Amino acid sequence: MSAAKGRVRLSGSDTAFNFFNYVFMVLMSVTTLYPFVFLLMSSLSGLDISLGGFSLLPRDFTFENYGKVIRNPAIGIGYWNTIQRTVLGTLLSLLVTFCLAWPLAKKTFPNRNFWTGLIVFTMFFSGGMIPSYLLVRQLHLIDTVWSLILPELVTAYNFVIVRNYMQTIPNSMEESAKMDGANDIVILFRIILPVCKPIIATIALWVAVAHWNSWFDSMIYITKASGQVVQLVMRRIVLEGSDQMTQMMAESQRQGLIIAPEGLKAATIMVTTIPILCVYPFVQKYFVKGVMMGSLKG
Amino acid sequence: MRRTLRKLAGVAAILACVSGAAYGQAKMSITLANYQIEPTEANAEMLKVYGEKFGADFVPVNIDNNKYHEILNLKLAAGEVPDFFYLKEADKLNSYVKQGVCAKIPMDMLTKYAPNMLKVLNDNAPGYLAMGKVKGSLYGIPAVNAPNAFHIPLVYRTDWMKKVGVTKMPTTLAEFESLMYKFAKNDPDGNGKNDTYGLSQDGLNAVFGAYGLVPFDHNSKGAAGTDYWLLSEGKVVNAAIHPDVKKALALIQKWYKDGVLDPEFITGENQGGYWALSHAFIKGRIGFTTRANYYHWAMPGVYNDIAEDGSKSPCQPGANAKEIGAIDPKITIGLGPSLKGPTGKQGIKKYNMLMNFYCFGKQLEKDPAKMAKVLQFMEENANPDFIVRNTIKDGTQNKYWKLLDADTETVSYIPPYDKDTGYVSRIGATLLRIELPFPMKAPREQWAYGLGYDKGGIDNLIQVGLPVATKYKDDLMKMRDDAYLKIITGAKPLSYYDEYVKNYLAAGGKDAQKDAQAYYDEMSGKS
Repeated sequence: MSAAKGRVRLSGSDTAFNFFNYVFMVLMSVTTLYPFVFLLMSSLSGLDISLGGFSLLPRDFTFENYGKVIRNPAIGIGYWNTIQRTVLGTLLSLLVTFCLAWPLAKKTFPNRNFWTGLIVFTMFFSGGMIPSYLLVRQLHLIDTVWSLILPELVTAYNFVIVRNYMQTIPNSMEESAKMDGANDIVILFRIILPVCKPIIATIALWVAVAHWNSWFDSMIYITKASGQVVQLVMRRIVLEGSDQMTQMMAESQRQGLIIAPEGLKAATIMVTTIPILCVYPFVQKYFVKGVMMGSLKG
Repeated sequence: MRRTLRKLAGVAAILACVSGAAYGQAKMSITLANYQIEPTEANAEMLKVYGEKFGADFVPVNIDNNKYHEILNLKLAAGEVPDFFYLKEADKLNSYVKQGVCAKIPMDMLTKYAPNMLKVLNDNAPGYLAMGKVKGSLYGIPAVNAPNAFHIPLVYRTDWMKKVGVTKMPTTLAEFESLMYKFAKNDPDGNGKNDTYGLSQDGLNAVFGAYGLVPFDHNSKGAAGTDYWLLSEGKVVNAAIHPDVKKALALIQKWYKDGVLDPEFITGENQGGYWALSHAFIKGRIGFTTRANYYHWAMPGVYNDIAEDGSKSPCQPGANAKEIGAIDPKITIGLGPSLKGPTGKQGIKKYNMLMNFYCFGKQLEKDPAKMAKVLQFMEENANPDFIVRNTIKDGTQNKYWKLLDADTETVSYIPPYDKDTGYVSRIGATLLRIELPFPMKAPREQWAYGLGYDKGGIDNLIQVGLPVATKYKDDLMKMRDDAYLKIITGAKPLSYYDEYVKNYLAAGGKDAQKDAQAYYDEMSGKS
């Protein structure tokens, strides 16, 4: 607004406010960025960086840690599994969430509140870990990629956001399309979905990040080595020899064993985190809009 | 060429028929859950090798070791009880037996199918097998960690000692005290500033040890630590409330006041990174520590390793030694003996030698044939021939490893396995491996024997988790740490100790003690 009207003279209190605003923003950014920079420096260090004190430089600069991570076959296999579940899981999740939210967003849908309530109910009460495990096992999903996708295919939270967003779309849009002779499927895919772009981007990002980061389901449902996701491999490397007990057990396998140094752990974290970070800038512009539109209207 | 191939195929076919006839029936399938570095594929090499040897089909149950008990519990709840599984936390045996998950292991089965295993346990770790008993019956075979026979190290800055004019390693608490005061007051780093201390958190182990006590176990990150039980005048006492703790606290309180104890002792010596590092020591803030294990402090060349060609070569530095070398190669360190205290006791903390338990699924109680098979592969780990038992540990000889020196049982791993620690899990060896207390012969351990570190460690009287003690453990340990801290920093006077003991006993400590006493009486009466 101020840009259109030219430079507005700021009062003293405004200047003070801006000043502190900037200071706090910079401090906030530094506190969130520093751990990341620290990790980056640790991953480029040949020695344990915890002894270097507060520093922005690596100790004993080396790329060897990254070399080791890339040469580790488990990382490659894990990457493939993670990409597979993320792509497949996100596409399916979007499809099913939208197909579910669309009818329930329509005021004319019979017993709409009952069905919505039933879904929202699962946000507060869940079956727990053991029944989930039994269910997945009895559906013969163990050791398949579907065990990582189907149980969390639709989350109630995402459903509510999408439904609320769809409710803001004026009914007249649909009516005009109908008059032009479009059927329900055409309306959903050619009229409604393009309008829903911001919410699609938002939900897609959420689901993709959740798939990328999750490891616990893989730990439970995937028992074969070749099916494990990269986060699980990363976790294993990071926790290796992390205390007296694990060291003792690793030592019993091989005396004088070289526990993965901190630099290697940091490099593994970097390698598994950076790809998903790169997605953020591309969906940023839809992100805020999508969340706001979806959540404000109850 | 083709002819030979055909011939070979014919021989193979005949062999297959013969072996099929010999076994006659389908192989029995045995599911295994054990410590793993990485998961194992179903048809892993060593599982096949030993499957053929013992006529069984070994099936891996891959459980990530970092969440071992959560996942195991899930499988148990779903009715998938592995035939053979290990308990990562020895404390859990009691509750697993109570829930009816573990099979009773008859003694005569052990003597019949695993005589060597029994012998190794009884010879090198007497009394440990009895720890696997619950209400008189055996449910778990103990995994005994032989290297834990060595107590924690007493590490001194020897260059500082020279600077303050002390040439001999302290052997008594009095000598130790005088050295600590010199470290703190006589500017051992020579920078003209009063910025050094004698010791910090880990160093306190040496002080308590001189009174024959191990009151806390702060090194185990995450877990609440281990309860240390002692025998005091014929009675079982938790070291946390032993009367002599008061004497040790009096001394430490004085050191704190005099600036000998690092005021940062509260947050510990490690400031992130690898757990075994003592940042305070490495950076020259303190001159003494007991952190981690002796081998973390091995300076290059303190003992000789056996090299690839069989010759001797100076050893590589341990984790702490490596960092010290990187900071300043002029720093020298030395490992001293445990201290003798004013009450005539001498010793220092050592970790529990009881590491885990190996258990059999409840279903094996009704399937002695399967139990016998499991015992057979366990027995393979106890074979007197080093080559045989190392094959089950490291895989096929001359493919993964070769023997460098038979006397010290030194092996070298064939590249790329020398840099690949996880391969033993991928080939399935770790699933069949059990940890047994064989005598240690490697040069590294010989160095520890030379330091006398196998003597003077304070044994924990009860190494299994007792139900009552486990129930109150977290609260009681919080109470203990709080009281010690207040007394050391002078927030409370020394007399507060008696009040703390009273509170401790009232908050469950008394019940825990009673339970421990009953357990001890039962064990000592029977074994």
